[in-house]
Amino acid sequence: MNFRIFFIVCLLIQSSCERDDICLEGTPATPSLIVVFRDYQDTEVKKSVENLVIQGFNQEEILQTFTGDSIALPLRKNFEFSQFKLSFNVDTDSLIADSLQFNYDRFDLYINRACGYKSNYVFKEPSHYLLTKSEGWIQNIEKLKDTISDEQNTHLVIYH
Amino acid sequence: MSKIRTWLFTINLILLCGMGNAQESEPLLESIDTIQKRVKKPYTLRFGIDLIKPATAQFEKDYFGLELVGDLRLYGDFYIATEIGNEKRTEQSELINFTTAGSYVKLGFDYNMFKNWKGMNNAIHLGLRLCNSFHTQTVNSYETYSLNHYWPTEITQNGFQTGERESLNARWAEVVVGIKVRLIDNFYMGFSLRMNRLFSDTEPNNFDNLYIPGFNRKTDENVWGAGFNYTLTYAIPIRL
Repeated sequence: MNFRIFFIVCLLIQSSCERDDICLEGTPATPSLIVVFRDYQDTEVKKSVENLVIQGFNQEEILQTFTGDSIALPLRKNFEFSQFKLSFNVDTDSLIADSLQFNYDRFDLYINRACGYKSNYVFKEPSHYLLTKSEGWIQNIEKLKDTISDEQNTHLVIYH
Repeated sequence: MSKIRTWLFTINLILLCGMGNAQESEPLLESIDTIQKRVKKPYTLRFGIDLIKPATAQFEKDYFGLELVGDLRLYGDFYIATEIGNEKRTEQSELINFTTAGSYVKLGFDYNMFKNWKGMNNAIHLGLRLCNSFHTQTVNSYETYSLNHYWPTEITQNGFQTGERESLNARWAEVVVGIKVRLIDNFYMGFSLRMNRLFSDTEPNNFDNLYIPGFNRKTDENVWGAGFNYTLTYAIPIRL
């Protein structure tokens, strides 16, 4: 009889549950490039942009239409560069646009089972190209950080 | 997975039937054997394989496993017991696809709590094992964790952190509770539940031992794990 009870217990234990693997909110993910906008005449003053249309190169959808003074740009992972077109819709006919390319190397860090890896980036030399030759709205670009490992710091400044 | 459950259930049924038979014949033995004779119990060498691992390998194409088991009665109700196995397993764990391959050795003792009739070797046993694994972890592909999905999903298939992490090992202990029941002649069928406690493992470079051969799944939160096996063993009495 003991044997039988033991077996029933064994059967019950077998159907045990497994904990779901959910990456907890707040776990640092792959950081985006943090860019702030400043006035080119007074380089210490933040200068907001209004209705800036941001679109990734070869992407049909726009990333966002942005108003404010700092923005996060997600970077491509399987390429050593990302290209964005930053344009203002001044009116329906004319368009002021600048295209930018950021150059970087990627390295990955293991977080845990649920979250897997996150990517960090190190700027290459040169860190960026201004792809538009004609007159755009961007006056100057300055790199502040060499590595993109979190979103707490500003990595790049655009003066306009 | 449901196929495996069916398989487990079938094996359980077979075992239950086997035990029924064994118990019915017991009273007869008792009535004949009334005089207590002091006979030296033979040393019993029992060896066999775990049935679960080859069965799982049939159902899951990303799994290979083999485990040899053995025990030897040394003194009284104490047995030295061992399990030696090899596993190769590929798993898609959330964002990472990885393969664990390697061998393990478990060595320890069992204490048989079941009072057998003379000549029988059934067991309800409690035991302890010290275990060691020798394995490799290979990251096959992964997608890095991002909150922003503006760019198309990019899976890293080669370079970066993909590749093999060699010469890893893990050490742990297992508390074993199990039974062994005679089927026919010298064949025994067994089932055991194991509670594992991980002591240490060599951390793979920029990765983790998400699975350890013999130990099973390693969780981020704690050092405990669990396992079980179904064994088919053959016993040889050795009289010295």
